[in-house]
Amino acid sequence: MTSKTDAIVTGTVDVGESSRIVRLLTPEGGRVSAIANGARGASSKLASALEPGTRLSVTLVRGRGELAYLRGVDVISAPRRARADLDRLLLLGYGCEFCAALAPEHHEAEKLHGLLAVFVDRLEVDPAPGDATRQALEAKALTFAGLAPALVRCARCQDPLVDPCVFDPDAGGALHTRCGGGAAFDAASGARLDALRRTPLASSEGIGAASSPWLLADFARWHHYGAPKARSVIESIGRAPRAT
Amino acid sequence: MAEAPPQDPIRRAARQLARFPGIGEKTATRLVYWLLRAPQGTAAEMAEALVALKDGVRECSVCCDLTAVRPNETRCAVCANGSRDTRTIVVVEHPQDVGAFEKSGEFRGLYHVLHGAISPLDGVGPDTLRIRPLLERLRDGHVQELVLATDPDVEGDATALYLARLLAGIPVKVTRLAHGLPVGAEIEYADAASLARALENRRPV
Repeated sequence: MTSKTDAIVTGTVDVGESSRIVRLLTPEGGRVSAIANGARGASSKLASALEPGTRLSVTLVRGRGELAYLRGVDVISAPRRARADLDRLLLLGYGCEFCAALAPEHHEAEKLHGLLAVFVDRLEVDPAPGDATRQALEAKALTFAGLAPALVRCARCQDPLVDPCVFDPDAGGALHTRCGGGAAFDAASGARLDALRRTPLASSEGIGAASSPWLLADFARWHHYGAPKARSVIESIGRAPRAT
Repeated sequence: MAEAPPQDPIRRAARQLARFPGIGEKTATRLVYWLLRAPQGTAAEMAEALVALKDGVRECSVCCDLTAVRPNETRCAVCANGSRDTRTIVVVEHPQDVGAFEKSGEFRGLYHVLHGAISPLDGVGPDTLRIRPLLERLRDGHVQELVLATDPDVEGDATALYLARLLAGIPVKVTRLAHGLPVGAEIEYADAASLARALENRRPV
């Protein structure tokens, strides 16, 4: 069966002498993996198209096996500025991994696909993307995956969140300390993350980041949606001093 | 079909060969049957060469390239060659990249092998790369130019950008290989990304 769809490349795995399995996020089929035969060959035109964050129009051929075959590829857009700036590049990798982890396999993921497309575009134009841009992506992606944590109301008593409070993924988000225990959290961070969740990515610039940088990533991990490997790289590079 | 006993030498050999990257079970089995048909001694020669590989190869104490173990010499042939230009170092991801440069015959400087690249999607950060020995080589101020010859993919870009950031405080010229069209290619058939990079990296003639 042959189908044509929009897709964003979220990762690749090399197989055999010159082929590649490409992981795609598609609006109609969610997470899809396809074999791109000869994609690593010196004369292949696919190599540059199958880089993370690249938006494609692809033709997929499905046989009896689990994997589809990538037959036709047209590049819609490819990240340029992100490839020339380390912080953007790391965020690009993280965003691809985070959205792919939350997307269902072979089921509709139109909103997650759209979100990742906007995020990739945002990295091209945002003057200084950082924690707030990433947290906005996380908050929205979790919502689209049906996992919105409580951020401005206590997950237990439902009253508006006031300090002192904590964050407990098991309870569904933020809690008053009188309602339960968890990781350190504050109401201002909750309000900020909620604003990032509700504001379109393109206009979230002035909101600022929450003080708990990886809270939502930890929330996704607690719900078994994996731990993006790019996170450890972002953290290790963030700590690295410059040589003198 | 009856299950073969675990000590079946054909299965055992195929299972070992299938551990090579890019070799599946079918190819491994085909190789085993080829070995069985090959002249007496072929398998032994290959086994001996493989066993000697680990003991006979080490990392160069200067550039981290893989080199044959030699008595009283910890450096590779390139680093030990007194006629090379020691002011320029090409930084590559893998030992096999050194061979590609040497084959071109255009470069007379030295190399540094990182043994990998930063890969955010695989969780590979800078800590696993041979970056510290590179910084050691730059310490005395003799090196004037560092050419970052990482692959033109996301991992190569991340590695080059990281090194450029890390080395910003060191008085050494840091450059990166130009990207663009391969020699002999026809523009009509070039992919959009390569063409865009070629245009970006254009130069006066």
